[in-house]
Amino acid sequence: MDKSLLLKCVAGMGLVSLSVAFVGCAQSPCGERAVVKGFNPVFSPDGKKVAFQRMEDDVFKLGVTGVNCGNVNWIEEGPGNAAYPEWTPSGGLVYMAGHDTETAYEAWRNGSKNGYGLRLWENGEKRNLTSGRCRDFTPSVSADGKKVYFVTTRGITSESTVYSKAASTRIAELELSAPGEPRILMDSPNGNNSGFVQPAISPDGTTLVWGHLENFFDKWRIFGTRIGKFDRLEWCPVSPCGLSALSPRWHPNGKFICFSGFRKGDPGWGVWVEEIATGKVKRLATGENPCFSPDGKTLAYDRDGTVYVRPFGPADLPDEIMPEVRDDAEPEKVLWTAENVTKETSFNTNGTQFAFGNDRTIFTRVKVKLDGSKELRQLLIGDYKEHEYAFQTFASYAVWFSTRDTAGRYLDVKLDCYNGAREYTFTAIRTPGKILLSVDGSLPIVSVPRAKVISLGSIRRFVVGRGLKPGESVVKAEVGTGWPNDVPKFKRREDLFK
Amino acid sequence: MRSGEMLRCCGVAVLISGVQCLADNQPTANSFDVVALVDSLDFAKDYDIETATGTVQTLEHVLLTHANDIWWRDKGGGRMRYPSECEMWQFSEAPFDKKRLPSEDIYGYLRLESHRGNEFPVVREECRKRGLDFGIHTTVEENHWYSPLSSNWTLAHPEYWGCTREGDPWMGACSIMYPEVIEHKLKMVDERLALKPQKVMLDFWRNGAWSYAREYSAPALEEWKRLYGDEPVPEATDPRWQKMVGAHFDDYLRRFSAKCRAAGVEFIGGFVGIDDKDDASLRNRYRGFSWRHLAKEGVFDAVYVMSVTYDPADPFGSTERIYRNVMANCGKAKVYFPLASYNFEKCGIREYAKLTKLSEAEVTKRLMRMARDVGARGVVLECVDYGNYRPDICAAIAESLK
Repeated sequence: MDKSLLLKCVAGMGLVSLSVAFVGCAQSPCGERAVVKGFNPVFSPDGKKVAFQRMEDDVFKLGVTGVNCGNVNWIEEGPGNAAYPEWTPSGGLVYMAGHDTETAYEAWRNGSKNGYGLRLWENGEKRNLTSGRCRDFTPSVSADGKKVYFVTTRGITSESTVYSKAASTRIAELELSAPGEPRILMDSPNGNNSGFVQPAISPDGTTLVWGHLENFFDKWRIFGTRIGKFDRLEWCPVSPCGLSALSPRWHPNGKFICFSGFRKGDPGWGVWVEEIATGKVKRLATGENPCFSPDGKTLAYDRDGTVYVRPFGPADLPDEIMPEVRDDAEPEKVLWTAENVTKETSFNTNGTQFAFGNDRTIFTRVKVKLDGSKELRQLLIGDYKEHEYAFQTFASYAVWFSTRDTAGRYLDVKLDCYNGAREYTFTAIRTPGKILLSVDGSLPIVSVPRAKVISLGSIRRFVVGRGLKPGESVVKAEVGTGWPNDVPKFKRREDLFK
Repeated sequence: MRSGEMLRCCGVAVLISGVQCLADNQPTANSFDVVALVDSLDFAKDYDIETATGTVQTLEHVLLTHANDIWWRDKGGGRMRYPSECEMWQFSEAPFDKKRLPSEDIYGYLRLESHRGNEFPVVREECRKRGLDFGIHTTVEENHWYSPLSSNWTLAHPEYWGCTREGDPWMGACSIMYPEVIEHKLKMVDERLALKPQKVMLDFWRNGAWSYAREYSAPALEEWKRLYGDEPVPEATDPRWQKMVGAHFDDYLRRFSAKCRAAGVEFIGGFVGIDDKDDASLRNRYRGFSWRHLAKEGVFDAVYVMSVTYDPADPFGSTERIYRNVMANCGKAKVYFPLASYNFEKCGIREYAKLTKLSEAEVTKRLMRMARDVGARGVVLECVDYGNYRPDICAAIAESLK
């Protein structure tokens, strides 16, 4: 959606009676037809209406209109804002709504409960499903109408700086028939620069997909998991890695999803469709926030502040497989080992086996005894001609694995796992596009670096145990290629949809 | 009147009433400027900065430093602190743009971009009443390394995103190689000028992870081909690549400068890590353009040296050499030097005190005297937060101003 155009459109509409603020119903050659000014459209259960939101007079309103044009029935038109409508099977609407009249300071001082909660509109009546000083948004109602899945910030109480490692968003569920306290299902995995948006529950109620941002330098991507399997180990990417993708919605047959996507070279955000069993994709139109009609034969989406519909037929079926990068396929191969190091020791070495380039997966594994103190200990350093700290694992108040980019700049991944005197195993992985760090075989923390990692050609030495204190030791240090055996692999789309 | 209409009217007024604006905007003739960089966001837990009262309280706290020139931040990352039509401010409040993550701390609930939270009319008027210069501190960044502060416009326009050499686009920043991106940035200059500052300082340090390595956009590749034929596109460290990209920043900065000049507003460039060498080695931090050349050319009315890379073995001596080198290489541009409470780039008052064993108050006096001795226009306090310039440092500033 081009919001600047949206704003212009809305400004221009200020003179027009809102009840007749429709756009023309002329069809384009592909069958695309404008319906109404607005965005985030969703079809009603009978397929005859769309609910949508519109920004007007600096307020986000929520309305319903006929797919074939007609008057707008405003569900919410201020004061306050409403957004992200979702139909219930019985023809009600669940959406985000709130009217926060306090300043941030007042709210912070007063312990305010004002935020954006979920609201249900049904048979002309409205009632709040959730409330609190948080944002509950992008609801998805299950096909049986019993549950709502949504993204929330509830329970996230970070008052620290913008560099906080607290999660940014969570996915929660709520019983629609008897709403109480929402149940948190998943936390964003990587601190406040990772997060979720717009979960979508499959028509058969077995699978949840959502927009997922793993890291500040990563791109939005559709992820998914089975209902009941909410552990990070169970999640897997659903959309191709070459696409920015979010805002998924299911086809009623459960075989396709549509979403907002962008691939380099596209003219803007686009309406994409994916066949989830095969991973085949297709871009159908420029626009955002698509959804399927209940019969699966029509798509609605928005572009430049207008809601459009167009047919979805056999010619629109996905037919492209985008290449996937697989960085965990190569098995572990240990190339170098040192044991029982109690003080800084340099291991001069050479050999082409350590010329890793920057196009393969390598790992380091350091088993250490640490006394829990916070001084810097550089446990394992890879000193190359390209950079003296080409990679290293080090600990102080936390543990890091660092490498460099092609310009020699520092890149790292940090793990807040260092919590006292004991034996730890830190396993770090450097793939062509990611750096990861695991402790004691945990699922690794992932960092997507801001630039390509440095190519490693000429080893000079490995340094082990710099800064170790009396009683501490590096029990074993290893360097190798491939995905290390002690670190779990992330699931893949094929694992979810086989 | 809608915000956009108001801004447009103000923009037109700036252009038409140039003479009047020049008169209104004339900076105060301080003998020596002590500039406070103010990011009101940093006072969010101390004062109610979404209200006029809180804004005045913030300003009054800042003035405890004896600053006589105020440069107020207009954005955090890409999130504006006034109702910016260009940046579609209505979408800044979380979570109305799904692509920008919400932030649950107090900063994430601020609505400084709304009409109600807009501080600039208050700050400008309070500065006028107190005889203080009023400037805008803006930044080149589009995200501040943090998703909740991403630019709405950038998120809405993936077709302009920068790419890595491998062709991977990133939503954090648009590529300067697209004319549409420069036009957008220039529209934002108009918005800033409509706020009627006397100065605009463009901060190149807060760059939101920009790098040459993310400028491999389609027009960049086309231009490379035009210039170098079939030669493979080089790494981002290649000086030719940096020069090519940097030329587009030159274009943007010249046009930025021209707009400021037409409005009678001083245009200031802020740079970190300055040493006494040629600035070629600093291209990577400064988007390829030569700030010294642009200063000599008159694009910058003033240069703010945000930090210097001095010799720890001779902190004051080497700092003075760098200062004099800068003064000798900036043409007619005025120069500001840092007086930093925080230790960014290891250039803070504290670091000098640690190295020289002098008190921080004494360091303050030495740095101010040095700036004055080399002929600088003033010093800049980067940045004034609640209580970060201690009373002894403030007293030293006052004494140095006498």
